[in-house]
Amino acid sequence: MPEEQLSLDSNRLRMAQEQRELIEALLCGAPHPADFDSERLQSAGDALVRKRIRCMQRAHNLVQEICSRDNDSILEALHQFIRENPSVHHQGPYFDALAFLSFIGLKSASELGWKPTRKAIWLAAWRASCTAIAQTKPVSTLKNK
Amino acid sequence: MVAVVVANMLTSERTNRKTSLGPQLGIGFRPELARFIEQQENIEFVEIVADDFKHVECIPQALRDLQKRGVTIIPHSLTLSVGGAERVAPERIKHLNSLAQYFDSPFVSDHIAFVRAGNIESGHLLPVRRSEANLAVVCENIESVKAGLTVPFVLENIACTFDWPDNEMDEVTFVKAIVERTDTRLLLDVSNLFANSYNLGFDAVDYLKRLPLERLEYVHMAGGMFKNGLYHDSHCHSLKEQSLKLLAALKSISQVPRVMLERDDSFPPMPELVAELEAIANA
Repeated sequence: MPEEQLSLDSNRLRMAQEQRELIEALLCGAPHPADFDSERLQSAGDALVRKRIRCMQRAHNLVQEICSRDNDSILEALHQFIRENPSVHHQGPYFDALAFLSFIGLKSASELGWKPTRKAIWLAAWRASCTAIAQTKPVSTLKNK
Repeated sequence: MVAVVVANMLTSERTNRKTSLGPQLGIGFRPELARFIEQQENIEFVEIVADDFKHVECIPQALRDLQKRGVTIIPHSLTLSVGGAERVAPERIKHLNSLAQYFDSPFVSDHIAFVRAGNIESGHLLPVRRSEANLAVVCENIESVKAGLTVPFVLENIACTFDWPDNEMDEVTFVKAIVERTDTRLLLDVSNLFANSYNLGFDAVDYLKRLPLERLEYVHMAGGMFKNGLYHDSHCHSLKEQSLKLLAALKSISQVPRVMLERDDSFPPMPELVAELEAIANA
């Protein structure tokens, strides 16, 4: 292999490492790489989450519908979903939205129609609350049950 | 003879239009704006987000109608990740090219940025550390994209609220080196330039003067908001006076072939959008 290509390949390896460290700091809660402005990185990470949510809402009416009803449980479930799935779906926002709907038990638009009933949303919110409570309850409390 | 005279008159009219009325006016096509765009007779081109149209069947009738009307359609990608360490996936290049062929587009575009690393998709454009080593990788990626395209490739500067701490060169030097080494054209996002000059503290007009503006293909303008001492290029707020002044500065030193408005969300009433289009046309 020519020396120039070898050099380019090693450049790629170093670049992959630095880009992975940055993206993990922004989206996965990993430590911030050395010498970055931590406040700015935190702000950029928060902006990425907000943008992801906006994209999911635009891509799938059902996400917009259930998030715009001031339903704290759904919003908490949305943030939980993003924490557990820091990567946006590789096929884009529509599939990201579908993955979230599946996460909270609203399987698909075709199953519920584009306007889910209040009961379906209430059930999804209730399931999301149960998941959130189960995940936040101290282990000692669970053992005592 | 008559045909030649008519052709000359038409050419002359087009030339006069260019000099007297300035750049062609465009807008980012979004489904929510389809009706608005249809009603604007002065729109000469629209830019589509290539990633929104995975198959030809996904192309809405509204876009086909615009094309029939003579409106130029420019496919714009967000996901090639030419600034990434990974090589650009051939299927992404093929898709972009197929849209260009479908719409008979004069060129396609994407950003000097990366959007994925370590199997994580960021969902947004992230800045590349500006080093000689990374510059070589970015240029190799761009060459691979160009090799898979049948139309010219145009590259855009991105907006950031943070920067790498150990850059070896400033942004304009990096952008200039990329477009010159790869012989690509330039999509200058004036609002992104304002955002970076505000957030990272540099002189935007100096940046403009150092750009290879002879490569300028078109210009993006978008709204944003100030929050906690930073400017966010949100694309869902109104155009800011600072971006318009920068556009005027650009027009004073260079020909601008095309300029367009981007609006992605929180769509305002039609008169407000018309006013923004007029503002960028008249800046």
